[in-house]
Amino acid sequence: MINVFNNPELLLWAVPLMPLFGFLINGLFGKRMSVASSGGIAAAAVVISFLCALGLFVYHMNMLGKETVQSSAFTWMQVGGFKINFGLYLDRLSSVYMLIITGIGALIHIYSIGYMGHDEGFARYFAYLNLFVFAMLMLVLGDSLVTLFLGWEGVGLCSYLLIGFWYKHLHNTTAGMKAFIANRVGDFGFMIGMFLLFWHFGSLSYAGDASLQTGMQAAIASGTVDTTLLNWACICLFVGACGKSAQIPLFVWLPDAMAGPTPVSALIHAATMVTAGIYMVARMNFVFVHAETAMTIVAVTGGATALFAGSIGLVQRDIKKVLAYSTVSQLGFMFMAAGLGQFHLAVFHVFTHAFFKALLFLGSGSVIHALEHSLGHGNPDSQDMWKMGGLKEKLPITCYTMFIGALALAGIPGLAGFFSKDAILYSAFHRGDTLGWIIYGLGVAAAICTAFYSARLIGLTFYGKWRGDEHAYAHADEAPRSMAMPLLILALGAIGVGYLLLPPAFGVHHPPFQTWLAPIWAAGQAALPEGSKLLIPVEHDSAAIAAEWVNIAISSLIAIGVFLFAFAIYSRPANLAKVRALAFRGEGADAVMTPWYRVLLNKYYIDELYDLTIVRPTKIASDVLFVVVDVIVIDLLFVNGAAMVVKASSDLVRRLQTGLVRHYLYAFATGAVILIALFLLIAQ
Amino acid sequence: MVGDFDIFLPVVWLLVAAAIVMLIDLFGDDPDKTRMFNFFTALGGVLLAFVSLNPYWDAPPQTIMRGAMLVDQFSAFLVICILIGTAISMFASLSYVKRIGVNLADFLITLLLAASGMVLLTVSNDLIMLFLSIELLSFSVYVLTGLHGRSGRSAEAAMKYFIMGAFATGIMILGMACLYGVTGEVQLKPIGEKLAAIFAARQGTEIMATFGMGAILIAFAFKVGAVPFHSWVPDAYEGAPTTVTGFMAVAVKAAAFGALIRLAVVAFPATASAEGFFGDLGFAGYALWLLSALSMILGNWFAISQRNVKRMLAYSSIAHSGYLLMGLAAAGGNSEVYAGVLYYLLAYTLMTSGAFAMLVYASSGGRDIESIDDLRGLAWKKPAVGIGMAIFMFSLAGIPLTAGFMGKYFIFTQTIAAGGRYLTLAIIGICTSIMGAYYYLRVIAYTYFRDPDDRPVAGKEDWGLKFALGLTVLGTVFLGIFPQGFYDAAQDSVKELQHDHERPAVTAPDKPGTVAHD
Repeated sequence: MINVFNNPELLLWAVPLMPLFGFLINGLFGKRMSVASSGGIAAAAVVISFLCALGLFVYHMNMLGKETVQSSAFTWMQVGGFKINFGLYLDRLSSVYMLIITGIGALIHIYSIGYMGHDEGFARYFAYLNLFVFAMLMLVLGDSLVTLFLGWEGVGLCSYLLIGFWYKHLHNTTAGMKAFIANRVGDFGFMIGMFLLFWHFGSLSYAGDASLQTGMQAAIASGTVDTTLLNWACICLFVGACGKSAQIPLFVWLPDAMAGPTPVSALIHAATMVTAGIYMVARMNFVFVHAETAMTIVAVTGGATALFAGSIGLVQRDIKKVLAYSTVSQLGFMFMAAGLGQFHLAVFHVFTHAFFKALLFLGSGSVIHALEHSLGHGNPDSQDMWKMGGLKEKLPITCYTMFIGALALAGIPGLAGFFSKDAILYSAFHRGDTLGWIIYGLGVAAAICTAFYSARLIGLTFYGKWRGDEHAYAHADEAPRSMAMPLLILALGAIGVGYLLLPPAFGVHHPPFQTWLAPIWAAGQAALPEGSKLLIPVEHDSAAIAAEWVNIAISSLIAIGVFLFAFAIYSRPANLAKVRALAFRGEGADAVMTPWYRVLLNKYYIDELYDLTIVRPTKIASDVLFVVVDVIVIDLLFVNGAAMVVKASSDLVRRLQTGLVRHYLYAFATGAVILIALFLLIAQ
Repeated sequence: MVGDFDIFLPVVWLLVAAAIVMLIDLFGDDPDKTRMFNFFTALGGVLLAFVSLNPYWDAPPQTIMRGAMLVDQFSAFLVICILIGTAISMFASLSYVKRIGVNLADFLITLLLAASGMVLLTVSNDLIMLFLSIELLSFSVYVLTGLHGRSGRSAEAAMKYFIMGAFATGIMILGMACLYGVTGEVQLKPIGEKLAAIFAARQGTEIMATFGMGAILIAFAFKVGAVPFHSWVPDAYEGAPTTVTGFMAVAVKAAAFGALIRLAVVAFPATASAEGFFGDLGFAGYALWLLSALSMILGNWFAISQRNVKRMLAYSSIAHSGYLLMGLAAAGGNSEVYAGVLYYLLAYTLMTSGAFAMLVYASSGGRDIESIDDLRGLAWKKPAVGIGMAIFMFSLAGIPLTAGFMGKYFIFTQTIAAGGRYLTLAIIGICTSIMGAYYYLRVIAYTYFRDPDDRPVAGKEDWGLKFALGLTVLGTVFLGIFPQGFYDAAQDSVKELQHDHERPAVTAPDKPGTVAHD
């Protein structure tokens, strides 16, 4: 046992392989197992994986001071000069992701035992969930972009399977398809980006001798950095990230993905998979810093997405849809930070967001679970916040933990979300050029939306009076312990993890989170010229600290003010009518939506826009193609025309299939004569 | 000569096993009682043949029987493919032949004889041996095709196959006669040397030599079912008992391709009578290009319209012959391409015999799977059918992480590297394999996404079938994920093929593509 613990490579392999074993056991024998054993095995697999990850992190990386742990398994393929290794690579960046995935993954597995206990497909569910954890770990622990891409596709597949988990409802499977297609578009960009990098550097690995880093360093040393190519490569990679991490214009799949079971939304569509795009950008930071245009695109796309999705989140009635748009918006914040060169802040926001967003999703799952008891499974009323209210009395644990999550999300000072979001806003604020001000504006506007919809969610769900079916309210019960425990742990995280990266304004100049990740950016930072806007600031003079205090004051005021304002509106039944008056003109059945409300409720008509500009034209094109190719070419020319063609050209196609031996022999002889004639002609 | 006998062992074991089974069948009174004994005797023969391949491996090539046979790692690789195909067919047939009313002993004897014919074909080093072993395997396969005597279709298929085969044999013997006539030799290497001299001298005999080589090529094109000599394939594949079809598809192909490669490398010289046409097969490179392109296009095209699964797989096998011929056509003295072909043969052996075994497994109520409609929703009734079928179809379609993908990858990359007109061939290949994905994936779509019919499914299948399926599924996936070792082995095999047979020098050795590579 001690030996296992002392062997970092063994531990490293155990981390992804444990969930794989869980998947195999559940996939092969799950049908014969009870909920407790099936879920128990799945959860145990991820818990063990988490313990191994913790062992690696605490003992090997912190106590023994190992920078990286590598294990090359085998040469996957070698043809000529093309070689793909298959191995694992753990460094400080992947260690953070590894801990998030296994830690939060373990909590969500435990939660799922209670949540999915009544579903007959639980074995399938746990098998997929374990497979997802495995694929996600391969994504972050792989030692090259190829392994990363395998994991990338793997998590996409699991996400698709889990969105369509209740495949009997047509809506769910179409949501799965939507996710699949949006991700294909992204993957196409990602692949082109990979090819460009491979073409330029001759390697896709980021560990070992012939890696992307060494290629980059050689290019810098010889002064032959091809910024145009790197810009294109980075833009293509970012298109891939847009697909996976739901950014404009490919974000449309994520809100629909809420059709899957709620713990899946928490794990895949909030805490882990959707942050894979940020991981990829952070991993490739040493390439991205040379691609300033691409970085600007990343930052602006992130900022626009943050505001865009945040404003849609203001009016959603479905509790999970609010959280989904909120996730898209927060992912926008992360890309904002990455695009400004502050990769550590992007990863930090991934880290804090994983806690409070998983908490909010699991809390909403607890609410849905409580209401579905009497409303029935799949009833949309169980997710409609306008048909809730006053649930605080019934679900106290859920209410208070979710309240903490919402405060953290809103960015109330002292909680995790405040520190990460404030630092991102400050980096835009501090930049001082046009791009910085644009990003800052977008960020502040998005932060206002965030505070508003967080308060609205809590107010509508837990406060005021119950507005739905009385029966459902009476039978709503607090979640079982297996569901409450993860909520409590995540709530602690949502409060505490922000203190790992306190701003310099608080007198902390070397916050542990930033120090931990510093070596990851070292190469990229060293390549940047003095005074570059993309540099991560190290020294903080008094002017910078003063500016930071200003920023903190603004963010805090916005967060607290907007939160209180929204909470005051939505937690009081009397005020709800006034809100309604804002959204609708007229009373009762004659009520007409006001234009702004209609635009937001219909998500700026993006789905319709895509339908009109992309889906319909494609359909029309394929219809035209069908008519041209199928009807005209194949049916008319091949099928009907075949008779004529074949008659004209000595029975070649049709007669071959007559089943008569003499025809076969005839064809044989003809072929032989032609071939021999050909040989003789050539031999002459 | 004891040393010779040692090397002869793989064939001997197969023949001994066949003889024992024959004797038991002759003197045993109850075929049911001796069933398992016969099976294990035959299996033992195959296993011993496998074990006795040892001297073939990692040893310098050696000739035996006064040069009639040549034993090297190349033949060992092919014999492995053949034995795997034979063993899987045997396992899959354990209860299947009984179900269709065929005596297991008859089946095993013929199968073993066919296998020994194939093993002999891969080591043949002169024209007589080549012809005899082809006849041994052909007659055995005709009998196997018609083994299902109660089925009219089986008899019809065997008859057609036999008549067509006789025609092809006639052409082959004609070609051999021509080659003997112009060279006066029967062994491959001297034939190659003489032919090179003939083509260099150009005194009129090269016409007959060309005719001879062309005729032999046509006979082999018939054996591997290349268009336009493919017409027997759909009928024979459909009519033959399913496990026999699997055996025919893989083992015959492995043996015939092996012999063709050996002929191409050793006996057929590269001629230099015109510009640019000449790969390793001399003028035949051009013919191979044509055969390959036609097989890929028509094989895939016809397969799309087939609703009968076995017929569809028959056309698919024609298409796969096309891919293999592409490798041959593009070889041009480049040993890596032959390695790709060998790897593809191994991959093809596993996935195709697996797919046919899966058809047996999926059959229910004593009825073979005929139409694709019989597969409707079967994945939900028999999950193993769904998963296994999906793996084989993915592999046949060439989707990554399967053996079929890696095989296509090796052949296509090398063909593209060969450049020139082979680039066109590779593009045809890629386009047609995309076409092919349609009908392979349709099978998966039927097993998973169509509502099942209410026909009952058969209860427990016997362990032999399960073993065959397990082996092929694992093999298909394993070769797809860890291709390197097998590819290295294939590369070693073809290296010897070329090293020890310095191709006879021809008139223009400096011309690229005609030079013998080391």
